[in-house]
Amino acid sequence: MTNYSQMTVFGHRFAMAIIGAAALALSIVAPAAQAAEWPTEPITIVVAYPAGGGTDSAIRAMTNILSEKLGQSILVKNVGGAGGGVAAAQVLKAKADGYTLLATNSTSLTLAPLVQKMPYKMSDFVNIAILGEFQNAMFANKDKPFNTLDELVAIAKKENREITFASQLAIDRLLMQYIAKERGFKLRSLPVSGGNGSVQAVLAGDVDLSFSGGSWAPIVAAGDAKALFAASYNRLKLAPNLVSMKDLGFPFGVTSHISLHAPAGTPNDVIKKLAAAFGPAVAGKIAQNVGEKRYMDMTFQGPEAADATMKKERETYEKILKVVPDAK
Amino acid sequence: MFNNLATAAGDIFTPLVIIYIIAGVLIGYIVGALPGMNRTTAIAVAMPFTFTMSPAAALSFLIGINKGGAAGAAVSAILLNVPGEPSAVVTTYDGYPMTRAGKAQKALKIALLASVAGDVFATIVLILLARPIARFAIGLGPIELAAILLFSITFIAAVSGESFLKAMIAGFLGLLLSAPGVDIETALPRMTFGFIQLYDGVPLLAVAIGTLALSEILVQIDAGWRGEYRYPRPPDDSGSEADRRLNFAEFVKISPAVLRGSLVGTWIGLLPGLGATLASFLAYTWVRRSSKNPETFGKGNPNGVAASESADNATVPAALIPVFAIGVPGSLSTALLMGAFMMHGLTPGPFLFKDSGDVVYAIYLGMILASVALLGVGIFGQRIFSLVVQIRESVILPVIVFLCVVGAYMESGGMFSVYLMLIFGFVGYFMKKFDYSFVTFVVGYVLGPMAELTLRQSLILSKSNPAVLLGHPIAILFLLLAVFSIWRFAIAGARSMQMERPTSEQDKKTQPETEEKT
Repeated sequence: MTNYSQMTVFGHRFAMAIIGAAALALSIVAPAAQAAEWPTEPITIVVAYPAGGGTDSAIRAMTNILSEKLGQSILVKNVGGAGGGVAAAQVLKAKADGYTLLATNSTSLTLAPLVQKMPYKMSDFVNIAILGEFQNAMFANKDKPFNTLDELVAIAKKENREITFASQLAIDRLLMQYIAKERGFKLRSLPVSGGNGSVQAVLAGDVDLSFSGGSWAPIVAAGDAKALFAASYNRLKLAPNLVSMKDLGFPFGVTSHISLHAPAGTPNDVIKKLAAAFGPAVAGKIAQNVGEKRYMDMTFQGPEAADATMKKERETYEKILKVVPDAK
Repeated sequence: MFNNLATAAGDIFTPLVIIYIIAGVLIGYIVGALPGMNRTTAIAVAMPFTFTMSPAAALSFLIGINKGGAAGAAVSAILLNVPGEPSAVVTTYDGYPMTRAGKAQKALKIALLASVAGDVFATIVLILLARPIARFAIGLGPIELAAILLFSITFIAAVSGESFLKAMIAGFLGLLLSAPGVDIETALPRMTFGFIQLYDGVPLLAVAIGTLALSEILVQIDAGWRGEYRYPRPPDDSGSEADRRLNFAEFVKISPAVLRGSLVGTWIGLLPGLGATLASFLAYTWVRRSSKNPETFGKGNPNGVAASESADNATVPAALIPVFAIGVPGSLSTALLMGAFMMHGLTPGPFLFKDSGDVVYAIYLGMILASVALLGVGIFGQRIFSLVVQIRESVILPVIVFLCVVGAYMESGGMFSVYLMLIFGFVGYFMKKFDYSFVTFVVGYVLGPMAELTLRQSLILSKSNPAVLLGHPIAILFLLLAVFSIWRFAIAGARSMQMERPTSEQDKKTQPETEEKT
C-alpha cells in the first residue's frame, strides 16, 4: 500500500484522508489495471454440490484445460447444501474480482429464490456461461402397464387412485404439480434423496413415475425402465426420439443447466476472459466424455446467450408458479 | 472370463500401474490415519491426477485410496483414542485399552489383518456375485430398509454402556441432531434457526470430528492439567515381546470375529446408503453378544478390534457391487468412484461387463493387488505410526486440533462447520466426563436421517396401512428381530438400573488384561 512512515509525520486525520483517497483511487483504477493482466492468482470454482455429482464431475473434467488457458491453477471447492443455496450465499460474500466463481444448477438461482427463503436473488450474480444442459426426463419401471403420460392418467382415473411420484427437487415438484393440475389427477409424492433415490424407487417399483436429470438414461438403455417424456419444452438433444412437453400439448417445459456465475459487479473484461477459457474446456474431450456418460448436453453458451437462457428459465418458472401458486 | 483375465493381467501387471496402486493405498492409509481427514476428500482431490492414467489403473488407484483409508482410520483410533471417521469409533473401544496396556503393536496388527481379510472377502463376493446380489439389493425398497434400520438401532442400543438412562439420553440427543433440515415432504425448513447451512441437516462430519476427535484431545489436556499423566508420557508400547507379536494361535482366536465382521460389512455395504459406520457397530455388537465373556469387551478385547475393522473394510468393495452391476452408488465415496468411471468413459451398470469386460477384470485384479499392497503398507506404516504414542503430547495434541479444524472446513468448505465442530468438541468432552454413551449418540445422529427418510417413505407408500407389510416378508423378519431386541434391551436396562453403582465401580478396578488370560 501507500508509504506508511511518511504518514506518521502528518496528523492522524490527514493520514486517514490520504488512505481514504488512495483507497477510492485504487477502487476506480484497479479493475482496469487488474483486467489487463488478470488472472494473477489461482481461481476458485465453488461447486454447489458435493464431490461426485454431475456438476462436480463436469467442472473437474475442465480444470486441466482451464488452467492451461488462464495460466493459473484452478481450485475446485465443493460447498454442498440447500440445493446449491449455501454455495451461492458464500460466493456472494466473495470479492467481485473473478477469482471466486459459482458453478451450480441454474435452478438454484432461477427457481429456488422463488419458492424458498434464500439469502440471495438472481440479480446478485452475473452469468459467465452455461456449460451444459441436464437432460431431464420422467421415467417409470418397465413392468408398469402404461407407456405414455396419457395412458398413466387414464389408468389412475379409472382405478380412482393417486399417481405416485418420486420427487427430489423443487423443479420436479413444480413440474408434476403443474401437470397434475392441467390434467386433473391427484398426486402423491414420495420424497427421495438425489438421482439415485429416484432410480431406486423406480427399479423397486415403488412409484409410477420418477424424475431425473440423466440417471434415467442408463437404466432405460438397459431395459429396466422406460422413459415417458422429456421435462423440457423442446425435445432433448441427447434423446431426440423422446416426446417432450411440447408434444404433450403443454405451453411450458422445465430446463436446468450447469451454469457458471460470478458475484454482480465483476468487471466485464474478466467475464470475457473466463468465458474464452471455458469455451474450449467444455469442448475438451474429458468434459465431453463426462457429458456423454452422465447424459448431459455439454454445449457451451457465452455470457450473452447465458443471460438469455437464464432469463427465459426464470420467466417459465414464474409462469408455472402462477398456475400452481402454492407449489413448493 | 479367462480371456478377459489374460488381457486384464496385461493391463495391470506393469510396474507403473503397480506403483500407482501402492501409492493409492499409501495415500489412503495416511489420510485415514490423520484424524479429521477422510478418504472421500482424498479421492476427490486425487481424481484429476488420474485423467492421464489408463481407466483400469485410475480406478485401481482410487479404489486403493478408499481401501487404504478404511484401514488407516484404525491407526489413530487405536493409538490416540481419536477415531478419524465415525466408522472407526468402535475400534477405539478395544483398540485404545490395548494401547494403554502396552499392546499397541498387537492391536494394530489385528486391525490390519482384519481389514485385509474383510476387504478380500468382500472383493471376492463382488467378483463372483455382483449381478445377482445387486438385483436383490435394489429390490429392497424403503419398507425393508426402514425395518433393517429400526432393527439395527435397537440391536446396537441394547449393548451400549453401563447406564441405561444415560444411553437413552445420548441416543435421543443424537436423534435430535438429525432433526434440523428442510423437511422432506413439505420442503419447509425445520429447526434451522435461519441458517441456510442447516438446510441439508447438521453437517455430520463436523459433529463427528468434534465429538469424537476434539473431545478426546480436551479430555487428554484435562488429564494433563490434573497431573494424571507423567510428562513426557512413558512409551505405551513397552509391553513384552509377546504383547507386540501376534502369534498364530491368537490369529485363529480372532478369526470367527473377522468372519462375522466381513459378513456384516458385505451385507451392509451393498445396501444403498447404510454405510460403514452401521456395519462396524453391528459387527461389534454381534461379536460381543455371541462371546462367552462379553464383559471383557471395551477393555481391550482383540475380538472387538477385529470385528469392527473387518466390517469397516468389507463395506468398501461391497459398496461397489451396486455400482458395477446396476450403476447405483451406495455411499458418498462410491458415488465419487462412479464419477471417475464416467470420466474414463466407462458406464457403470448393466452394460459395464458387456462393453468393457476387459477393464472390469483389470479393475478386479487391481483391487486384489490393492489388498496385497494394503498389507504391505500397513505392516511398514504401523511401525512408523506407532512411534506416535511416544511423541510428547504438547506436540501431538495441537497437530490433531489443527487437523480437526482443517477436516471440518473441507467437508463443507466454510467456517460454519468449524464452529460447529468446536462446539461439539465441548459437548463430547462433557459426555465423556459424565460417562454418556457414545454408541447410542453416534448411532442416533448417523442413522437418524436415514431412518426418518425411509420410515416416512414407507408410511407414504403404504398409506399408513400396516397390512402392506404382509407383502414384505423381509421387513416383517427385521421388525420381529427389532421387537426381540427391544425386549432384551428393556431387561438389560432394568438390570443395569438396579446394579448401576456396584458394576461401574468394579469396572474401573478391573482394567484390561482379562481377555488374554481366559
